[in-house]
Amino acid sequence: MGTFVFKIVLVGDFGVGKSTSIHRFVEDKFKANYVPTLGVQISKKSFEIDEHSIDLMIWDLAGQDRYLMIRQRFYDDTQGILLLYDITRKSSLDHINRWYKEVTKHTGPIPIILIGNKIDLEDKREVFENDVNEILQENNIEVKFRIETSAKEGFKTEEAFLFLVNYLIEQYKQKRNV
Amino acid sequence: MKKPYFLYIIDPGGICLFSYNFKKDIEMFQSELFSGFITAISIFSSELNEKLGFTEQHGRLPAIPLSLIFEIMISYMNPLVGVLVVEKKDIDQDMKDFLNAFLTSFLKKYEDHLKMWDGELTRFGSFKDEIEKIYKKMELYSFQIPKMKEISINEEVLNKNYIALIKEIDGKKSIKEISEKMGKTIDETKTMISNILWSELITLSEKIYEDDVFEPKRDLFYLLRTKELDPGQKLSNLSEQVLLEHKLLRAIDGFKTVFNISTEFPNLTLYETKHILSYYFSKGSYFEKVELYPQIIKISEDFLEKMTTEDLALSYSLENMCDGVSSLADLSIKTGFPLKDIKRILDLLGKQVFYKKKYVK
Repeated sequence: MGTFVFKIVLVGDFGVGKSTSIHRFVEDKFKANYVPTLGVQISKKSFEIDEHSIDLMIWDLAGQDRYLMIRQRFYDDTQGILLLYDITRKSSLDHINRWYKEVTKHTGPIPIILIGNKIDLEDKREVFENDVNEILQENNIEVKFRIETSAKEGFKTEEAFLFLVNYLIEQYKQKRNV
Repeated sequence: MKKPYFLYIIDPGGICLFSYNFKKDIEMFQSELFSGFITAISIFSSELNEKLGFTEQHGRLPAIPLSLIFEIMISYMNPLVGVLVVEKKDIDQDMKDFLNAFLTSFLKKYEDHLKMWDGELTRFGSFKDEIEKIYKKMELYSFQIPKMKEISINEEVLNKNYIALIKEIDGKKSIKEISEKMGKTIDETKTMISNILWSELITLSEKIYEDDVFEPKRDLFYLLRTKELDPGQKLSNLSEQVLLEHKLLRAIDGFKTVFNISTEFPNLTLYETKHILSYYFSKGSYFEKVELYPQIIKISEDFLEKMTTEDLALSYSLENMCDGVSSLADLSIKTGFPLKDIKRILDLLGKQVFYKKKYVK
């Protein structure tokens, strides 16, 4: 039993559903209107897992290129990453290599969860499993977990966040035992 | 008071006699290299001024900007040089006083050692104990109100100055008012208060920063009176104190903040005004709050550029979240930042924030 404070960061192209996923996870609600995030938005969610008290600081980084310089200031002390793409927009998957490089340049090797969002729009799907495998292999991107979600319908969004949190707790326990 | 990063005390030969890290999580600049650098730059500056015919006073280097965010503050107190590494936004008179207080205290403590110093640095290590004391004192504000704890004090062990001070501490007078009563300077009183604070004999009222627009100069609520004050009661029957309180309550009109009301009562301090109004508010039904909800349309890029990373992150978060619907408390819960940080940023943003009035029961 312990208290953990984790800083996690969500990255990915604009419009892939970073803020919506956070809104779903933190408040279990869906925001229908798209309002681009300016710079960064920090949200906090406190909860318990297996008698551990968790304070999760969630940093939602703006996806637009114009925030590139500013984003770099926000990666310090990040412990985990949720890297998102939109399954209905292939270009957002193509760009995950760019995001991976940007993130790891500042954070070093930390756990990354890859999320393909918007599976409620299955009929518009442009990204298939092979595409994801290919891009991960080609660019040597290591992710701890891959999942497809729908922030709109609340499908597996929480699972993605909780996987990362559990991974961080386990990582902490292992380090302590060493 | 804002916290500096690092402190260095350097001798005229460029040797660092003492260094202290206020931010334990950040590694300090290497003392010898840093003090050598400061000394060299100071010498260049003095030489140039000397060549141009300026006096020694003009030749002294007052500060070195390190970046858009950090600055090295330098103060001279013969024969020592004091250096503080601080964030630019934190440089104010308090910080300057802080650096000078260090130098004064260091000189006083080691005056004899310095005269015949043999190069032994370890003796200055004990100065660390002084630092927290000085810092505690600098954190005191003249408008704070000390209050005695409910413990018995053996007056025989206190000197007469402290006995006189304790007699003035009634939980009503501010440090400034106590100074005036005792015929001492505010600084002298602060030193004594700081010492007895150290001994845990007193508590201090919460700080109400005079330059804080929210507490109480521009509280995030206006007051709206909702109850007549005993219309049948004859004012002549009321005690002086109750009469004053009634006058204060009558001043509530739905347009004024606590600060606005306080300005109409020069005989009351801001703290007293707030205290009385809080008392009546807690009794209920005398008046209601009209709270203000911040709304940010756009923060200027120029403004954001100058901010530290933490402030920048919070500013952007507030820009994203301040929609005129979320209260300060909501913003604090959602971002995980304490209320005081949110107020501070809103204060910094000044006119870039609009406030919507909302009636709250």
